Amino acid sequence: MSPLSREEKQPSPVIKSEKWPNERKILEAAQNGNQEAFGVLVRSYQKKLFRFVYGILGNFDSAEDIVQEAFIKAWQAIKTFRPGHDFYPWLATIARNLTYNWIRREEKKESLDKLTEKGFNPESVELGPFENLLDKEGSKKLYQAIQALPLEYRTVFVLRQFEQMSYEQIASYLKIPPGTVDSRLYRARQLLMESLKDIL
Amino acid sequence: MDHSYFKDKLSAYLDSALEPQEMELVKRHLDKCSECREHLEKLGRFGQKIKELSGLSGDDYFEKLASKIERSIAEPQRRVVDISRTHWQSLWWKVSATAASILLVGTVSYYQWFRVDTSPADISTESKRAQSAPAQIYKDTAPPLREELFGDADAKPPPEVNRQAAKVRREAPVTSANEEVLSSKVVEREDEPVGDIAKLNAPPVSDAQLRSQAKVKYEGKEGLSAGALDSVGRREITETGITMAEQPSVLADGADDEITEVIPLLEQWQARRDTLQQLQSAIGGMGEIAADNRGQKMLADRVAKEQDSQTAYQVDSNLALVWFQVGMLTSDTTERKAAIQFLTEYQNRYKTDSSIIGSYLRQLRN
Repeated sequence: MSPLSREEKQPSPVIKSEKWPNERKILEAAQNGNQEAFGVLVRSYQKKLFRFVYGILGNFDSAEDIVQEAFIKAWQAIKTFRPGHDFYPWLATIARNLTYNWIRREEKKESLDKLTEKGFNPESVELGPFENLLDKEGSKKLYQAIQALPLEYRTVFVLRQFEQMSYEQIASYLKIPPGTVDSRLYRARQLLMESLKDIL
Repeated sequence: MDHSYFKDKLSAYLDSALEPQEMELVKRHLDKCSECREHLEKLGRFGQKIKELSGLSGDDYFEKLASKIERSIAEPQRRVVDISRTHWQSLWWKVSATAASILLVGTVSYYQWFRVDTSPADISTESKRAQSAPAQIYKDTAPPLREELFGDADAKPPPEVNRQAAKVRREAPVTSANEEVLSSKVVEREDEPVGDIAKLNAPPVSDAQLRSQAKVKYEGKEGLSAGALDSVGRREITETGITMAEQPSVLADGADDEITEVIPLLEQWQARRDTLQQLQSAIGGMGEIAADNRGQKMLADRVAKEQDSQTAYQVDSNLALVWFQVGMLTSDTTERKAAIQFLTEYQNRYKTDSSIIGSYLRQLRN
């Protein structure tokens, strides 16, 4: 399942070198057991993966564990990776599977009533060590606002906005109707736009 | 359609997530409405800003993380999921089965050659016992659909032996050649129990929990009475493979007086569909759609009960859901085509429900 919609294919962030001029060569080397090549893939994609996982979990240590676990699993299964395909969607699927059970557990604890009970208070959100990974003005406010969203809204927002998954892909992953994806995303965007209007 | 309808659609329009007809409708509205155009532009700018601000720096931290990952993969025996244990457990079973077979053959040969007085029954018992030990891990289980009802997170991780046993059962015997293949299969959902044995090991759930889970799944869907919800829940309990013998409390406690025997789920939906179609004809809904009408005279009573309370739109909406359920459950292609036909006509008639009906149609056509 590719997380990239047909309209939004992103340029590859892979760190190219003379030794490995493109991702395909890097993957071939990694599939032949070259750990250095796999290290290039780790450095190319770890930030993007971390952003997605942290965006959903909101917990720095858990996000680090899942990112690490995802790469290790990817290495263990690298020989099964089909040549000719993009590496990141496959890696992201592994990370999503690791995140999935966490989402289901947390959904039972948290509810959309969080908004009515506690209101939407991004300023009260503590980002912890994650704050050290942000250097742009406005980034802290953005992530505080994302973390202030109820989990149901946050999940669809992160999957759409960070991973560019289609509504159907999100619906399939979260096992909800596409109409629910639409309504949650709409509401998440409303809340975030209102909260971030100073920096937009 | 009023202005707020289109404003609500702009988020999905921006993502190109609407049905083609709706995209066209919104586009035409945008040509005329400056407020919506402005809002759409705002949404676009918002998306762009998210991209700019969401990137991470922290190069030092990520270099350390990358090194940590590289160290982990460089450790030769490390396995995230205990594939090596699978390998050794599988090997142990194979060795013990081989040893048992050798012992058996040796014993039989010894007795035959030296004519010790052992009856054939004793030998066959020994034979079965020797072979049954590994076979225990291949025990057949009912194929419950617990996952559908109460999700992965509720199921506790099965005992390690059984999880590995499930993999042994499902996969080819583990060899060094296919260990990587197996490891790729476990990456899919590491913490999820796998296979039939894992489902068997899921914690027992009371009938009240299962019923309420099924109700949560179906509640809110138009057209389902409380009695239907309850019977759907109880039917799902049965269809998940929990028989009366295994869970005697299921279906017994708090049984609905209305339902005296379990009816297959598809038939329930078909019966509901037929009732609504009769009602549709009576109060002038969309009109009869070509379908396999069962023509059961007993439906007339149920129709009469519902006639007073529902408008044509309500009936059609209920029918849309019911046709979707029938279409998904049936193996009859004619019936599925009828479901698709109904939903297509419904979608054209009631455009406000278009995206949901579109989702139904996509699922039916797959």
